[in-house]
Amino acid sequence: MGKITLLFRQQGITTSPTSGIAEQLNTYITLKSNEGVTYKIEGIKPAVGSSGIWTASFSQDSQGRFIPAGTYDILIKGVSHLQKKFTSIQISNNQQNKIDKSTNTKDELKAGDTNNDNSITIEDISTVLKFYTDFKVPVNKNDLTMIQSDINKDGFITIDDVALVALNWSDFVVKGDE
Amino acid sequence: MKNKRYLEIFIPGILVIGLASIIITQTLKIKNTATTNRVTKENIQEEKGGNISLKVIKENSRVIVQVAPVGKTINLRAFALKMSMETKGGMPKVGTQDLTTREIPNHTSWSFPIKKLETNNVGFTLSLSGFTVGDPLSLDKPVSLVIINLPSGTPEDLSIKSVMVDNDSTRFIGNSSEIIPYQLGW
Repeated sequence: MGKITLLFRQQGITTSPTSGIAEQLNTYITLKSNEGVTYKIEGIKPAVGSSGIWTASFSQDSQGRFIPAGTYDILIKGVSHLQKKFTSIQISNNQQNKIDKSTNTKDELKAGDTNNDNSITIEDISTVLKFYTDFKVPVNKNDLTMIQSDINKDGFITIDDVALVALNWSDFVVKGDE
Repeated sequence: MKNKRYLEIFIPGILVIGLASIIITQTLKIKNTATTNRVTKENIQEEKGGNISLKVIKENSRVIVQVAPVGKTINLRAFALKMSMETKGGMPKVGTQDLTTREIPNHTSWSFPIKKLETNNVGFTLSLSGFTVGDPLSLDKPVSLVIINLPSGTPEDLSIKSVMVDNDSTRFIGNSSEIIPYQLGW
């Protein structure tokens, strides 16, 4: 089996998330093989660089199964961001598999899913607006909904978060990849 | 021959009259604008930060807050600003009914989650933020974000105390956020 290292970006996050929030950002990764086998890596906490690049490393799924060589569709779901699918990714045995999706802006996970249902609706907009009662509202780190509404993970609800949640809302329901 | 002589006099004559009328029209137009607005350099405050300039104009009984692109067209998706103006005293009450944001193009597609005007005896503070969904506003010329209609009895010495555009504001959120933090104060 080989080790897989995924590099990716989430729209609007351009620095390391604020301390106290970063620890609560669970990412969900799914690998679907050509043979129809699905591997789920649930609740992984990727490292985030100072320029906002997320790095997730793993070699087995949440059930402890090693991920064999093959061709996979890889789906990544972030907190406050829609799931993004990367198709036909080759994974090889006995070597480092570095998959870098951080260089092209069209590969960014789209911002705006504050209730984690993999879609952007008016509910997400209203959730952020509920917390945006002043120009710069500090995020209560014990309030998960507020953390999810802090889309750029800077520790404050500002007009940035309002603009980010509205950015991709182009229809009643904007769904992430499945 | 007689015809040619006639053209030699007539054509330059027409040109002179045309040029004179253009000059007169333009002069009247400039004079009219200046008279109507009475905008002087002293009551325009302007600051540039990155690709945007912010301008506050005090014009007769109105205060206009404008943004304009610097150099290139920018996309405006959201903004947040706080502005305080003060006098030496005797400021009448100003309320949100005295605010208008209707000068923003496609005004109906904008929402304003924060829209507050607080007055006391010496002045007022405006807090305003707005955002749009769908297409952002393509800013290629100055746009008035808000106009405050000052009530009668507003003291003449009303001046800008401070203008603050939301710190680290990502007014132009796109794939490469252009972050333009700045704070103005006079």
